[in-house]
Amino acid sequence: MQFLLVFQSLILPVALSYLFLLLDVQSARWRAASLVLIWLVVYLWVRGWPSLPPAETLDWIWISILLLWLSTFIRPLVWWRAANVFVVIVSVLVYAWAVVIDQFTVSLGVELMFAGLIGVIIFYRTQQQELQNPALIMCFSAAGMAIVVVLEGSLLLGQLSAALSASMGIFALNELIARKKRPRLNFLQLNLMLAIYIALLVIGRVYAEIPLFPSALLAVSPLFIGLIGWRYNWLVSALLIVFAVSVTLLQSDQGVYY
Amino acid sequence: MNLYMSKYWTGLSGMLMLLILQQAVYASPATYGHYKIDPGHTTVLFTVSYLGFSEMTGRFNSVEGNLFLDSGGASKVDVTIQSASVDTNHKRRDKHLRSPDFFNARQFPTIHFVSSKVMLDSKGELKSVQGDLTLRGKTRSVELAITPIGAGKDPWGGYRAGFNATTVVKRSHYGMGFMPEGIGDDIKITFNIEALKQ
Repeated sequence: MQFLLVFQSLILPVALSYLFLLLDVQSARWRAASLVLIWLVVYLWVRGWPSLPPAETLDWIWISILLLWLSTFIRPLVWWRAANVFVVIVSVLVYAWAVVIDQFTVSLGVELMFAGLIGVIIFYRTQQQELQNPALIMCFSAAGMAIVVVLEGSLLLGQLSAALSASMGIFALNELIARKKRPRLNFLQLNLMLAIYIALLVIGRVYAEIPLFPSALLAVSPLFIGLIGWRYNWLVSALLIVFAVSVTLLQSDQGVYY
Repeated sequence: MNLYMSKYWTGLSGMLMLLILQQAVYASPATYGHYKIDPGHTTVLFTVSYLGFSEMTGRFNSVEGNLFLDSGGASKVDVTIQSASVDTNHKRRDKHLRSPDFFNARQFPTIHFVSSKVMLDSKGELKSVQGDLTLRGKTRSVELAITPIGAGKDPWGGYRAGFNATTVVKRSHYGMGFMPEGIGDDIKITFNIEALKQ
């Protein structure tokens, strides 16, 4: 059983990302789609075929990602940006909808606004710049989220987060050894991976009850992608993730039952 | 002396309570009418295979509902369980069970059973109940096998009836297919119901 978990969450996404690297897809849009596809393969294997219309929150992720990807076809640029922002904000609301309609609190509203805002800020900050270590930061953040979510009691979300992290592993490795040539994570890839990250974080916070403080640290961590011209932005992000994991470890019940 | 007196009174009051309760309990069919489930004397248990080595049992601590027993075929059973009340005597496991991996309790706060057909035997006792079980937003037909326990007046002037109901469902049918290698697909559900006539 452990091998299957590791295979689904780590080995398969790394292998598939390497395969797509060898295929060397030229179009930025299709490269983005192929990266998402890696995560979707794991998602389908772990979760099974999602119901249509979506029966539960996790079933909405692929729809949101598909809409984001389709929005890249929109011209002119200003409309594409507007569509992207709209999809990010509506997706956050849809993910939390079951709780919003039944158990809405002001703090939940603030948290959702915060999550949507982070998505929008990163989208605007990252699309115009030469990015520093985006894959490394996303990889750290998703890996940290996987650990936090598993410690807080959802193996499913942990697996999906780990797969998200692993699917960007080759890009992260490339950034770590500071190679300037390809493979580099392009903006469209980053945008879609970030959308999955925010989705898993919102679902983890709302439905798997990840505590507020580690959730906030996980939410802030990808913002450092937007720190342009600072080579060690990944280090700040990594420290935040280590802090989030440590806090979760200290707060969580250590009893093992799996 | 005080200890002796305390034991004496405890024993006496215990015997008195036993006598009262013995008078109340006798095996006769529950009379027709509207019953409300007594949450304090009702448990819903579930048992599932763990790694193929053992069976693990958990319970739900918050159950409510109504029974309408009628001779003319209008009998009805309606039970609502709060999925967040799942209790397996392990805090961390309970949190995992409440998460999207299993019951997804924040998105689907209730588990609901409503009967479509209630069958009585020749003595007018509940025999089986067919109905729809809604879990994680998915509804499927199930049949509960009923064992009547007893019915009669309680020491406080009320009228109570007790039943055990069992069924087996497949968790994968309710979108709970996570960790199929470790946790069995068949879930045995047992309702130990005591209901108070209204």
